[in-house]
Amino acid sequence: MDELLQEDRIEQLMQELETFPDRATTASDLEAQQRLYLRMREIDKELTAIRSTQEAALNSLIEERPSADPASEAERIARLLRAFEFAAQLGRIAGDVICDSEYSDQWTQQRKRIVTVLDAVDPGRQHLIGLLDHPIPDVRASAGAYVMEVEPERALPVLRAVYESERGLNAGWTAFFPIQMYDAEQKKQKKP
Amino acid sequence: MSLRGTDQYSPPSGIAIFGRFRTPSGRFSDIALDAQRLAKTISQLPAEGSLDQLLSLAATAAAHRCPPKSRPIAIVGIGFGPPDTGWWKGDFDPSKHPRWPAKAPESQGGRFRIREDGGKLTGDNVHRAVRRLALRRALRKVFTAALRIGGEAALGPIGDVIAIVDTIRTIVELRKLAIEATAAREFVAKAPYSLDDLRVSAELESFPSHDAFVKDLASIAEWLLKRFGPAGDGYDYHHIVEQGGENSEKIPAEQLHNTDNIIRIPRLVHEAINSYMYNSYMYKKKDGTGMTYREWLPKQPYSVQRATGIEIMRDLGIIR
Repeated sequence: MDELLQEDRIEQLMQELETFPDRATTASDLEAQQRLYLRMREIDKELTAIRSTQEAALNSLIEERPSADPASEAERIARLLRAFEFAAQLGRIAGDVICDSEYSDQWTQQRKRIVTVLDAVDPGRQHLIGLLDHPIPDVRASAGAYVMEVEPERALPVLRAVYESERGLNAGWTAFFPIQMYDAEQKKQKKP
Repeated sequence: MSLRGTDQYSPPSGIAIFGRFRTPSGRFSDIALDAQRLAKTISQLPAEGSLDQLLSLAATAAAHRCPPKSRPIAIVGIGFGPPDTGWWKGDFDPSKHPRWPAKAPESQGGRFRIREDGGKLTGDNVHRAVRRLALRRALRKVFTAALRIGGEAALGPIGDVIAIVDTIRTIVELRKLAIEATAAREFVAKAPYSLDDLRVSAELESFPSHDAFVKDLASIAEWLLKRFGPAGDGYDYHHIVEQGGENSEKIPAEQLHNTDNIIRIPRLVHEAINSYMYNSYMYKKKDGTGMTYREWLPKQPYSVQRATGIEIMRDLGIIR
């Protein structure tokens, strides 16, 4: 699925987009302005197409039906975990490359959907605990955010480590929110 | 190597110098240095300048091209073959965006990774990251608004008129954004600041009381304007602890609207901070109850909200 991430292409498009404010300042005639506007539409079209392909790929994995055959079911769970990793990486591209919270929220919702499907077969989230060692920090942080709800003592050290090493990046922010909410709630409970 | 005669220096055709950067995903990206600028810089070297000095200048030039959230790792010189060697792939102009082919082993193997700092963003990288975050977020907004209207445009002469109006409106928005982007760029270049640097006044001044506010002035914006003047082109006044929502009812006006809680920052940076303050992450407890971060934060005491606001600015590299 890595080829669907299209990170390099998205980065190119975003870099081009970054030149638009300056180009708009120097585009003095209507023709030049229209060219700029049309190019903007093309970029949007391409970004939308990339996003649709990614969404379709994720949906096909998430919507797969459970199987009575244990081997097929294990394969389906493996594919769901792969989908979770993919959605976490898409979150990183949304947060660190496109820098758009609407995009980020979309992939957060998809991860939530995957966790809901997984919860039906694994309410203890043991499969997600397996992702706490994943080499990509965004996957560790995303998995940690859900493991926090069932086994905070397992998730916290991972989240704190990701936050420390990835401050200011998507992975760091993904770790920041659960840590902060958890710590504040703990402090509140300790108060008499 | 002597650089004698470098005032006539220009990179030989067929050779390009790149900065190699490691992206947040662990991949490598090669970005060409501006040959003319590099040549101009090199021409300022003394005639007896060494290869070390030349490389140091190239490294500095490359550092300036470092994409946000990436890390510079190497300077690379490449000689190009003729176009029909099929070296380049893709549909973009390689003379403008030269790079390694996607599966080149050098860009995958990590052999040039020479700097390990545990993944932390440091120095210039933080500046680039927040600048990019701010600008790209704002661009997406202009972009989405423009295309929403454009997408609904009718066909025929009416459609043409709508398209022209929409083009002009978009250009106006982009030009406004250019001013805001300049403000953000200049501000971020000098970051990190101390919180005191950003305060509107060194003295603690607060809005006298909620009653006075209601009676004398129409809004807090008016108080700020009257007392401190406009924030300036591309700038906003930012409340570290949010002024609206639940806070306006549970936190006294003097505590929210005082010079300890109000700082002056570029609008684009302000919006980037807010995007994190209003994050939609949801934390569910074991009992199944839960709330999103944006619902949770205003329910916290002033001290927690303030610490959060400061922490977010610190993580963005804005303050120390």
